[in-house]
Amino acid sequence: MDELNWYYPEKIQEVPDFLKEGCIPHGGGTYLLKSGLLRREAKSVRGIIDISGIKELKDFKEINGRIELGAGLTYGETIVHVGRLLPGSIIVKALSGAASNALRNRITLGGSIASFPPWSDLAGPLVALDADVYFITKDSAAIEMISTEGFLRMPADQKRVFITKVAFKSIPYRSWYYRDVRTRFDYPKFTISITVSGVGGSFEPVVRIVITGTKGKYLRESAIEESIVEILRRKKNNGEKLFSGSLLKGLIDTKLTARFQRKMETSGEYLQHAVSVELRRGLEEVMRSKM
Amino acid sequence: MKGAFIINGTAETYTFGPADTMLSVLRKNGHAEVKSGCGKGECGICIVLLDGKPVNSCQVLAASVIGREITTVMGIGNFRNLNPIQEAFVEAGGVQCGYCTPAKVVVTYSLLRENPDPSDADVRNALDGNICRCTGYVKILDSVKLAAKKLSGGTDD
Repeated sequence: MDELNWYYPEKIQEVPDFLKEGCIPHGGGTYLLKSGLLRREAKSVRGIIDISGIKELKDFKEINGRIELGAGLTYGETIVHVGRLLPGSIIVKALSGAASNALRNRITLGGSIASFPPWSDLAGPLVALDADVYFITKDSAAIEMISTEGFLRMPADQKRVFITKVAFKSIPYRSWYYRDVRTRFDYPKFTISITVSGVGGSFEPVVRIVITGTKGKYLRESAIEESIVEILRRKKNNGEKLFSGSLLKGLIDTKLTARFQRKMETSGEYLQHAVSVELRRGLEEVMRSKM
Repeated sequence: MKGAFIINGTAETYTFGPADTMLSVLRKNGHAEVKSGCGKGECGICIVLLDGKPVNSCQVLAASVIGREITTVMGIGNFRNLNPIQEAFVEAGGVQCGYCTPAKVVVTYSLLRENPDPSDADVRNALDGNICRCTGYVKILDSVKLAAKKLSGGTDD
């Protein structure tokens, strides 16, 4: 390990050269340490790129109707920035419960997006917000963009990119977030993210329901989303009284696709049942809530 | 590799390996007040302040924080000159074996600097990564509330 070098670039454009040499980016370092990557890949890692000196990666902007979050922002910083602008944002709800206060001061958005580890609580909300991920590769400093869902589907070898920022539309929406844990500090067995926008306005309603912890890395409950949108569209209603508990239970019982593998002391069947109960609670709450 | 850090207000230069954590660097250089626990960022025993914010020093690579300010419990108060936060932990019975206390004191210090009058939820949120294996958490919460009172000049009864 003695030959492992640290590099401290100040501009994003300097990063591809380091990536070409087999260096890996370091934001807060929690993934590198917790995953054992430094130990496992010690021989293949040529160096570490400390990104904390790249000021651009700490940017927080609201621009052209979108919120842009630099990949170097920690969870703690993100909660403060987004919380000031959109106090009820699903990002704030999700990240506030992730890990611990001290870890939230180190975990960065970029590191979490690059690996989406089970403790990150970030994948679901970003998919629910239809967020875009911006990155560069070792071959080019030109910034590319892909949807979060597209990024999650990328093969692992193609994911060896350098995340620069994440962005999503700055529009009013209702949201709900749930993480299934025994104690607050647990890694969630599953998470549910719900966003609903365009209800009662002149725009088409959009509903996104995302579940993580499933057999894939995440799952969109598209059939349930479409059914809710269809009801909203037909009734031109804001949803408050339209969605009774029994209607939602019927929808979930017939259309829920989430399936789970056994996790520690919990069976896959139990988790599926728990998701159906919490999803109904979430939909009831989100339909009652204000934008 | 070599790096200078500002530790408890004093510039100190250490030699360390490229994969060494701040926890190991601090302890190897005499800062035994920073305790070692799980090594996974889960127990919170090793928490120090990095530029005023709590971090698990076992989860911070030393090379990533060269030149930055690190505060341990010794930078807040010591045996001869206790900080009101430390007095509050003693008075409210927030200390049992004491192993987790330095980290709780630094987190409390950071919390009360940003929020001098925290609610119970604020205190729980701030200390959500500080595990205590001896006692319950009621006395610890009481300690933080008492510390807030002491620092704001209020009475402690």
